[in-house]
Amino acid sequence: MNKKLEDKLMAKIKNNDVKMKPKWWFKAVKDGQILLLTSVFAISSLLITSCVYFVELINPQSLIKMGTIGREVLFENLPYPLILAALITIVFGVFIYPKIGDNYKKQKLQICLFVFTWIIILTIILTSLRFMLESGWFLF
Amino acid sequence: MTDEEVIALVCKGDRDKFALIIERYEDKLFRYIKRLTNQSPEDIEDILSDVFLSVYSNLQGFDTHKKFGSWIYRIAHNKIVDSFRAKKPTFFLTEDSEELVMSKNQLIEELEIEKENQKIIKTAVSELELKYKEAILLCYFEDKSYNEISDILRLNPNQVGVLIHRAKQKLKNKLKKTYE
Repeated sequence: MNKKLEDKLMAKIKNNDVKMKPKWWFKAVKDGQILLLTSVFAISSLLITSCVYFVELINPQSLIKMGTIGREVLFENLPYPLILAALITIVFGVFIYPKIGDNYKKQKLQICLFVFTWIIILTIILTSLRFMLESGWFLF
Repeated sequence: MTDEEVIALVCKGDRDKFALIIERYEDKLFRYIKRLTNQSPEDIEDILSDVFLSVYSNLQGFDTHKKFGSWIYRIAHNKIVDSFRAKKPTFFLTEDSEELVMSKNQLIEELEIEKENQKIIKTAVSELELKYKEAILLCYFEDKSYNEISDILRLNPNQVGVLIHRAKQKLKNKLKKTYE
């Protein structure tokens, strides 16, 4: 190959036309990605917890006992925007997880399992906290 | 001196050592970009410059546990994709007879047939979609392992296997049509 390209590139490097990004920048990007993923998990579990809360408010068990009309009322009152938002955040989590670090090496099933497991764990924690707050457990 | 040792020196401030990296990868990457994009030498050189400058500016982010070869090919892959986005390439077959591996003892007639076959294969490869073409080139032309291809394309090794298998199937179908 020609020496021209090498000289041209080295001249640019020596003249400081191109600068090396500092190490902290890469660390910040990596930490930012992890923070984004954690936020997605947190938002997702918060949305699921909210869904559970609103479904509980409708009292689905009593509505189902009412037969067809009860079921219709139940389906009309489900928090669809929240359910949709929760699904979108879960899909987003599954989408961004392989983009972080070496996670692209994992299989699709492993990725889905990881994302779902974390969201379920966080949802259980949030729901437990909600019950604790509702029952006033923290006061004692 | 290994690539990783050179990188360590460059990161410590010995910028001149980066010339070694350029020397080692210039030809390889030029060929790779040429095979993949079929663009003019000037355009390839532009992509190549972008690759090396990007390598230099991102050098501190290189994970020393990984192979530098895979990392630089990953950057080349990104730059190629960028160039594809910037302008749709026109596919044409390049006559690079110097690349053809020939045995000295073969008869001229056999060589001609082999040349013709290689030309057909190259045409078929160049007509494949970018992802298939890239997988085939990395595996059979650049001699990269599945693990290295996985790092370059950021896919899991199983997906790489599937990609190469599909690419071979597509190539087989194209060649079948050509020979029929």
